[in-house]
Amino acid sequence: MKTFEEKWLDCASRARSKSLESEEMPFGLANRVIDQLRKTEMSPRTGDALWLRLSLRTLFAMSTILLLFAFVQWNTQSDSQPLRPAIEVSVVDYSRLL
Amino acid sequence: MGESEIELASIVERVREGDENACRALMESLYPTVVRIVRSHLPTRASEEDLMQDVFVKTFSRLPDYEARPGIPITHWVSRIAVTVCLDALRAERRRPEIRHADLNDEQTAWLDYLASDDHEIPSGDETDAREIMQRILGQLSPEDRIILNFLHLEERSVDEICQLTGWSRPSVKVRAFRARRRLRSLVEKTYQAKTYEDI
Repeated sequence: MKTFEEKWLDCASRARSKSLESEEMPFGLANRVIDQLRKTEMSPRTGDALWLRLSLRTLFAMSTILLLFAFVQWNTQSDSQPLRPAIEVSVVDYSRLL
Repeated sequence: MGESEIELASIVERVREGDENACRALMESLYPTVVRIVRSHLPTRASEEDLMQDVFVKTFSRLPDYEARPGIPITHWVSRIAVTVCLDALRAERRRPEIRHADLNDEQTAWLDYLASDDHEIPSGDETDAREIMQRILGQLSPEDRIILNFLHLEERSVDEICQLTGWSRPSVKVRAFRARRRLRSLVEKTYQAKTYEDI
């Protein structure tokens, strides 16, 4: 009695006898490969592209953070009340003590 | 080093110098190797030419890093690139088409019956049917299982060759092959059972 493995190998051996179709390179394949290589050469190198992308992202992130800080600062200033007692009064009191 | 290898080495040197005609000549000589691998491991919905284009583009982009070693032809190095490209394409395949019995012709159904039942008579269908049913069944497996069984059974490659082509270790290839065979068997049985239910 044949095992599954033996039967599978029968199928494989029949499938193997199928000869491959034309061995000639498809027309235009070489041109497409060369064109793609040219495009790759013309585009910036991976390292440069990465640096450019990262620096742009960093610039954007830093600008956002600065704007955020500026907004927080402006908000705090507008909300803040003058010191009680005023700082000049405290300085005068302190100088009198001396 | 054989004559053809010396010729290939000189072509590779010319390619490195930027000679386009040498590029074409190298593609012509590597084409039989590349097409054989791509055809055996082609994902169901991928185009053979697109995949070959990817293989050649990768080959030329990595050519500056290629170091010729005595006794190891460039075709080995290119074969490994081709296998990697095919494996990536198989992994990118989102879903694997199921085997629908309505799509199988009589000979393909006979092969499926032969594989899963107690039938011992080898079907009379031609090699195309046998190949088609094998590819359909293998297409259901994971990319790694598919590639390893293809190498072992359809291309009759040795474990050492598979190690060289995939970069996997010897024990890993053996274990993967063992598990892939087990999964293959259960898949064929499941497909056959589904077919018998459909017939009822």
